[in-house]
Amino acid sequence: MAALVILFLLSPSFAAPPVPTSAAGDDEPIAPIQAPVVAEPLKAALGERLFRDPRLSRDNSRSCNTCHDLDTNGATSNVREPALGGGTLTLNTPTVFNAAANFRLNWAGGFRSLEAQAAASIESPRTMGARLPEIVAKLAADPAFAHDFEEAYGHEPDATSLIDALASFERTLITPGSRFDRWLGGDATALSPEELKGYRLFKSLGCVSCHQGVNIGGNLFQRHGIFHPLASPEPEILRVPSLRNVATTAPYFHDGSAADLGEAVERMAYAQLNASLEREQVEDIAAFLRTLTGTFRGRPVRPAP
Amino acid sequence: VKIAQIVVATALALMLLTWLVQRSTSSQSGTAQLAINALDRMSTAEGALHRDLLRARAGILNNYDPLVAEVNATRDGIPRLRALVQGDPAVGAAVDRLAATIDLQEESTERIKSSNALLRNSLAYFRLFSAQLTASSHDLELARRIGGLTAAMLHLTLDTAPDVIDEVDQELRAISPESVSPEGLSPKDLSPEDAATVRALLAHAGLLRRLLPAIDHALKALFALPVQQQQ
Repeated sequence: MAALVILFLLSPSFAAPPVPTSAAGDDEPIAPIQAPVVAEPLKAALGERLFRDPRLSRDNSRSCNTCHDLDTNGATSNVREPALGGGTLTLNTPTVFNAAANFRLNWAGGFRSLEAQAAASIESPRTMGARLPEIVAKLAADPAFAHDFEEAYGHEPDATSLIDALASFERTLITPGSRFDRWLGGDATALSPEELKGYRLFKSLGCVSCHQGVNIGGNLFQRHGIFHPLASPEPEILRVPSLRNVATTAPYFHDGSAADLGEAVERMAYAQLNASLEREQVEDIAAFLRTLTGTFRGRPVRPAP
Repeated sequence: VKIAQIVVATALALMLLTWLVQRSTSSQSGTAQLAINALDRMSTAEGALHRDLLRARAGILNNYDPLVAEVNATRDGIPRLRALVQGDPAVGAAVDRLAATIDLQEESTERIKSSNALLRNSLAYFRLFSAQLTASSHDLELARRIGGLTAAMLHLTLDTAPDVIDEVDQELRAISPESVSPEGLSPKDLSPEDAATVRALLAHAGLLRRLLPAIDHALKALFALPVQQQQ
C-alpha cells in the first residue's frame, strides 16, 4: 500500500495564479452569498412555525428542526440520525443552511426543488413517516394555525400551502457574512496570511474545480473515489456538497465517516486528486475552510453539541 | 439515427410554426405571442449554454452557476408552452418531444460539467508530474519517454481522433513500469521517487485519455441535439 502513496510535491511552477493580497480579483471562482430577500414574510413565518412543529411527523415525536437544528449548524453532530421505528438513516443529514442555493437537494441530488424534498421527507417512513392529508387535518384543528394559513394564503390549511410555506421559510435560511465573503467583497483584512495561503492551495490543488460558485459547491454532480475509495460506495454519484459553514458541520461525507475537517481534507485529496497532502497543507486548507462560516440572524453559525 | 432525428425535428418544427401562424392571425394572437416569447427565451438560454460549455472546456469559465441558470431557463419554458398549447394534442405532442430533447441536453450538460471538473485537475497534475520527472530525474530514457507521452497528450487535447488515442496508448505502454510489453520500462530501472511520480503521472494520464475524447463526444452530441429545430 505504501508504494501506492504518491509523494506529492508542490512545485513552485504549480502555484496558483497569484491571489491578490489586498482583495479578491474579479475572476474568483467563488462569489459571496447575499442575504435573502423575504418576498412573502407571512408565508415564511408560517413555514418557520411548521418547521419547528413535531406534528409534522407521524407520531408527533420530531420536527424538521430535530435533525436540522437552526440554533447551531442547520443539522446535528450525529453520524446518522435515528430513524423512525428504530435504527438509523442511511446517510448523514446535510445542513439545511443555504440548501436553497443548491441546484439539487440531498446527497444524491434526487430533488430539484425545496418543495419536492420537503414533501418526500415528511412522507418518508423512516424520516417523518407522516401523510400530508393527516398533517393538514391536525393543523386545521388548531385555531392558531388555521388563522395563520388564512392570513398567508387566504384559505384553510392544505397540503400545497403547507409545503409552500416550508419551502418559503427554507429560502430564508441563508448565511451571509462569512470572513471569506468579506474578503471577496474587498476587505483585505478579513483573512490572515495562513488562510489566504489555504485558499491558494484550495485552488491550485484542484478542490475548487468542484467547490466553486456562490455556494462553494452544490452546482454539479461528481463521482467519488476517482483514484482511491473515499467512503461508503453508495451512492456512487453525489451532488457536490456546499462548503459554506463546513467547519461547523462535522462529521463529514455522505456516510459521516470523517470526524474532523483535517481528516476530510486529507481523504478528499487522496481519493479525488491522487494527492497525499503534507500536514501543513492540510492545516492551511482547513484554516481557509474555517473562514467560510457565515451568520444566521446576526449570529455566527456554530457546531452542534 | 441523426437523419431520423432531424426529419422528426423538422416535422415538429413545422407543426409548431403552423400552429403559431394560425394563432397569430386569429383571435388567439396573444397566446401565440406568449408562445413565441417563451421559445425566444429558451433559444437565448440554449445559445448561452452552448457558449458557456465551450468556455468551461477552454478553462475560462471557473464557476458552474451560469450553466445551472441556463439549464433552468431552457427547462422553465416547457411548462409555459404546455399551458399555452392546452387543447391542441398535436402541438402538445411537439412540446413533449421538445421537453424530451431538453432533458437529453440537461443530462449531457451534467456529464460534461462533472467530467470537465476532473479534466481541469488532471491536466494540471499531468503537467506538474511530467515537469517534475523531466527536471529531476537523472534517467535520460525516462525523460525521453515522458517527453513522448507529453507530446501525445498535447495532441489529444487538440484532436481526439482514434489514431491520436492510439498514439497516447502507445506512449502509455512505453512508460508504464508495470508494462508487460518488451519496450516498457522495468521497475528496477527507476528510483523509488521516480517510480512513485510515474505512477501519479500515469493515473492522471489514464483519466485524461478517457475524459478528453468523452467530453468532445458529449459536446458534439449536445450541439447536435435538434432543440432549435423543434422550436
